[in-house]
Amino acid sequence: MSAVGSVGAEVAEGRTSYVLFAVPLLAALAQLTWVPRLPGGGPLNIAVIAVAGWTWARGTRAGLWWALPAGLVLDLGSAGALGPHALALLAAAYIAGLVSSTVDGGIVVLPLSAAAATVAYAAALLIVGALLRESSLHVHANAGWVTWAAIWDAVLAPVAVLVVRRADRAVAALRT
Amino acid sequence: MRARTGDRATGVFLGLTAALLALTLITELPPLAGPRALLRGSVEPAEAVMSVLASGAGDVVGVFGDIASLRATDQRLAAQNAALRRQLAEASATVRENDELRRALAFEKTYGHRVVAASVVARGAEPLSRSLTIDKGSADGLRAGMVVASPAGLVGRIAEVSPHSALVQTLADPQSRVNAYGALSGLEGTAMGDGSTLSIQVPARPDIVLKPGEWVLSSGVGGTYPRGLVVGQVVSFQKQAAATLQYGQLAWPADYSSLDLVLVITDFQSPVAP
Repeated sequence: MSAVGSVGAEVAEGRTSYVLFAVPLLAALAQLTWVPRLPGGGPLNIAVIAVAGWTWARGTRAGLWWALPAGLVLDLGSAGALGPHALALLAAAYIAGLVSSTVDGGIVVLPLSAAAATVAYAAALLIVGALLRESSLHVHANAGWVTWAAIWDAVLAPVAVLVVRRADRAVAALRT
Repeated sequence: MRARTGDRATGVFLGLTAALLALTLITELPPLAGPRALLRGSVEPAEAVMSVLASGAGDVVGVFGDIASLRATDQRLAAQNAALRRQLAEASATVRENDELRRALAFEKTYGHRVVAASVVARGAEPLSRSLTIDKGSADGLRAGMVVASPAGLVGRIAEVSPHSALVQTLADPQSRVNAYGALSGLEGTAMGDGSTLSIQVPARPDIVLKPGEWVLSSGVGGTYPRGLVVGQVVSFQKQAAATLQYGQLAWPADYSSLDLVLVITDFQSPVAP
């Protein structure tokens, strides 16, 4: 490939990579609008699933860059300061990356990293909330929904990866 | 190489964490409530579109189911059938909306307050923040602190308002406090949220307890909420000996997951900042 062709391909790749940022944004919007309508108030977290899946597929750094916009959208749809949900999703991506890189086992690791990401997300949110409100952590009061969310996210993470991979392939096809 | 990549990821993580901590602390400041609400208003159109899609998703699934079951019959009849079903779903939705608006009118007559009906377009991301985003804002006369109810009872208060949307802090929010009393026992206390449920804290009385099934209403004490709105129904009450405060669990009559329409009471302005 010529130098000009190479630069052109890089620019095209850069543009199409941005297209994939629609996935975490849509996941966050779905979390705000669709999930709470589910029976039981929707214990799962689509944004965490998307971030954990992307981290497993593309690495921790890629997951962190997905976590940021998705978390900010969650913050815009929730009460209080802007930032706690983005921080919590960053923690989720980092922990998911840590689990994926330290535990061997292929796709079997994915549910484990999604569950760990959910627990990290909830823990970060509780800690930031407690610090901002100068209140206690209420671990017992929140243990129930966090457990259910971790189970649901672990079950749904492989499905999310399939969807994300399909989107990734579609974007790759656009490049060519 | 892997360790170096890990170090880079840790560096990105720490950098972004520091930036977001700063953002959190800055946007928490009360003077920034206005710009924060404006930013929130900017995502309201996207939330409204997603909400509409969520409402339509059930109908779409139903239509696909019908097509599958009628595949053996004539295609034209199947299409007609699907169209009729869609119309029926739309008619049912209209009837439901009319019913909700009729109940809103009844609420207005019963409680003597002027109300503005608003649709819920988004909800808090997880049980920790049981907030609601509604599709009416300052352009419709709404202001922060206004009380939000549903035909079933009290929902919460407006925390932030932008021109065309508002964020409602519901009773289940951990920061929510409502002075309330038992309709039968007359016991006065404070109802508070813990993210997913409601509880009530009352001073210990040797002779009086809150009974399961008893309705708890807002007392109006403190001026935050008007008196007489339904807060919840007592599910359980534990009387503890030698305790100065007793606690009970309340069932919230407004079902958070299916709350589509709320009523903002516009002629009761809370003197307390939200």
